[in-house]
Amino acid sequence: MSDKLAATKACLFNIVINIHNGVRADYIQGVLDRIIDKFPCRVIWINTSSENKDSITLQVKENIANSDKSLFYDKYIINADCASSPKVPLLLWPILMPDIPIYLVWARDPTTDKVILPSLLNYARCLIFDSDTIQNFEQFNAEIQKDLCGLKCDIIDMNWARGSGWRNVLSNIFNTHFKIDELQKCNNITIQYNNVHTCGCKHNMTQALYLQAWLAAQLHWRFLNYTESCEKQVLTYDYNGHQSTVELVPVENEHFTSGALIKLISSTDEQHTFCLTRKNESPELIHIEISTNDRCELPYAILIQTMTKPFSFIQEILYNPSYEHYAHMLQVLTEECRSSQQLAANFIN
Amino acid sequence: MQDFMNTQQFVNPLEEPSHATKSADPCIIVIFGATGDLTARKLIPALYNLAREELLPPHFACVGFARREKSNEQFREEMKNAVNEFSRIKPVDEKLWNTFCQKLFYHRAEFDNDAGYESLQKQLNKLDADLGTKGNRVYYLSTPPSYFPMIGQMLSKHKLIYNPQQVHDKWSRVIIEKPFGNNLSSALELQHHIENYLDESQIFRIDHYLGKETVQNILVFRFCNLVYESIWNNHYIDNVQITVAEEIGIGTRGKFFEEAGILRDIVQNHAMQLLSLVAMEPPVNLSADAIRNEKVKVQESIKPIPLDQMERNVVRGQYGPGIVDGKPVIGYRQENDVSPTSNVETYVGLRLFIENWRWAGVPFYIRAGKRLPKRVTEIAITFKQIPGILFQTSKRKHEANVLILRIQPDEGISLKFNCKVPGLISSIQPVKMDFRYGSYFGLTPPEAYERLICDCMAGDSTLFARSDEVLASWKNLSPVLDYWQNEKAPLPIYSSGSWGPDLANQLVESDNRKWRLP
Repeated sequence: MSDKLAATKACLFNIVINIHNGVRADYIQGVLDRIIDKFPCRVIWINTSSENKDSITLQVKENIANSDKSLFYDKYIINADCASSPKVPLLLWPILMPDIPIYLVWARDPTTDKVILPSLLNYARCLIFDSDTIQNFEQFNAEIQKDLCGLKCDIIDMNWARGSGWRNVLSNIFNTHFKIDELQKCNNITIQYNNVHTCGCKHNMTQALYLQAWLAAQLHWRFLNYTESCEKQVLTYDYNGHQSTVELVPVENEHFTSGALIKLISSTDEQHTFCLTRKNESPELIHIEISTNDRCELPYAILIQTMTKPFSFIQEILYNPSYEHYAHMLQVLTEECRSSQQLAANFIN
Repeated sequence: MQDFMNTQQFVNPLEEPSHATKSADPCIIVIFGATGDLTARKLIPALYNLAREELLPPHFACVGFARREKSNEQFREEMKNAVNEFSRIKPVDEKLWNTFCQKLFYHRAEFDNDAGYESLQKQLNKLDADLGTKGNRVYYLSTPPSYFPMIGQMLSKHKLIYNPQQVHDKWSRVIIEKPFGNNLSSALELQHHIENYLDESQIFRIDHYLGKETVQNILVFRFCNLVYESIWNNHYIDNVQITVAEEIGIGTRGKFFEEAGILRDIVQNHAMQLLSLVAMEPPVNLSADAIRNEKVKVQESIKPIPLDQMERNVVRGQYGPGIVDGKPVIGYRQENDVSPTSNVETYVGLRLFIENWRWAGVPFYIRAGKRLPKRVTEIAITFKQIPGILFQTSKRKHEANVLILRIQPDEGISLKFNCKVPGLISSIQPVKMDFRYGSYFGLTPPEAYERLICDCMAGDSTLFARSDEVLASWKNLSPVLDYWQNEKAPLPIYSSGSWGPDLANQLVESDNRKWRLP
């Protein structure tokens, strides 16, 4: 009792989570644990199911936020089936803490939820979702682009957030006119991604596709075509008459999470090569080797912010929404999927 | 036109707008005075915690440079004990320590010995080759200030620091600790001496208060909240009180304190930094120079204290025996290494005025002292009284609103305002609206030194004092030191555990105000 009296109820923001039919529940719980560890908040966990019994329940629990039991947070659990989903927002309004941000974590395609999500979007600061749950990418992109023009909240795709470390490293390396020029004129980029399958991750190629689409969007490359050969996926781009190919190469590596990017090599006609590698023994580093025809720079390493580190993850999904780059990337990826049914099929399947 | 084109910044298409992509470059930190207190209590624990947070560059080394005989292993063992004792996160993670300590080295030499610097050069070059630190250097001068000129000269002589106009593929920076001189003339002398070897861009004058989260929050609080910035002026604010109070005495720092006094130790740097942040105009952008430009303007706007009004505007005192935290304590003159007839002040109370449109007529009261009742650093902004037309049932005035920025401990911000007491009678009671870091942000914030060392490695000087800032601050306070030196101003003894000498109360009460009880 005396311990409890000395403890504080902490609440930096509201976080509303929707899990549908239990899909991705463990993964999202892991995300939540990382958030709570750094930023105790009010949690509202909504489990929806496809059943039709018109059943809805609400439970409240007080949970310990930190190891020394000095901070607690409230967790509300709402279980609702399909028929009772329209009642969920009515349960939410009284339990949301006023005057602090509301973050929505949606473990389902947000563009297909027309019942619970729309009423919350007007009040939310940020919608966080996992593109692994998307069924129809082209439709998703169209809806997102349309909805988000009018939306007042930020959106974060967790797959996009996972790739922020690599994007950060690339922007640190290619940080001059000259180096951006080299990247513009490269004739080949090879991206290796981890194709080890786990039940938590369906689409191992997503981060690789996102990264190359982001590069294409930011460097103003024009998509030409997509082919597959020997398990590699090859995308060809044009920039002012110069063609570049991007190869996505699946590898299997038990040391990294499914879908993680492991290596990126960019090379130009003049043999100017940038090689960025994550090694098994030091997964938190990207090792960089830069060479030209006549010399090699001393290799060095940069720390990559991985989403396994709690603070980087929170920073990325709560405080660093980068809608602009994400939207441009989605645009490019949509055009690619539209132009190539094979790519669209691979991406979703 | 060409100059304009050249100065246009490269906009990286790969850099995401909201991301701070600042990262620390590979480098070696050389700590001069590595066997001292600061290294064990602050610097190595800071580096260890940076390593723990994966904020240290992967290519990194730290070399302790000092006179005592020691091996690398002995130094590492001592530093491990220090981290175990002083780190904000305990205990030491053994696996992390085993990796981290491989980057700690010790170099024994005298500060004035050429051979010592030559062997240092060799050691650093070898570390560059072994660890890939690319020739980048941070020299942390954790030594008495009297050594700064000598060390700077030796570093330059042995080409351990580089001219940034000529060398572009590596950098060297020097961190110097306060105090930056003892008065204006010694600060100028130090500055002129350092300028012989270093460009201003290479000098990082550390004031650890600037690394505190609560101090950094002052700018965010002021310039991210319209409701406060619109009333942050002499139309609404009656006075500002800055308190830097410690309940401890001088401890083992008797020798240092006899030379310094609290004006030099605390007021000239920490308190004046807080004043600058509270009083400055919004900067044009968030670059280091833009922010520091505004801080310099505050210092330059402070009205000089006329000599004939010195004692009305400045009060000093010295702690005598008393009771702190329920225990009897000795007076300053009974402390170790302190003269029994010492005239050094352990308390200062000041009244300053900033002569600009925003602050004209608003007194800034600053007090700093040792052996006060509690440890507290805060900024209290008292607003003006209401007209007193409504809710006035007695002659007693209602309490003015007070905004308190609590720097340490119990970090947070509170606002005192008036509220009706529930009941049939319209009684008014002051209450507090309170924000506490601990309640909202569950994580343990980084220590000031962690942030500052990381910023220096990344080349960001925003949280470091610039030369003109330091000199402007000395220009304001040097006359006080001269007056004390020449005029034998009173030095009342106050009881340890009290809030300072009675004269300090008179300082504020003569303005019909009183010190806030923190």
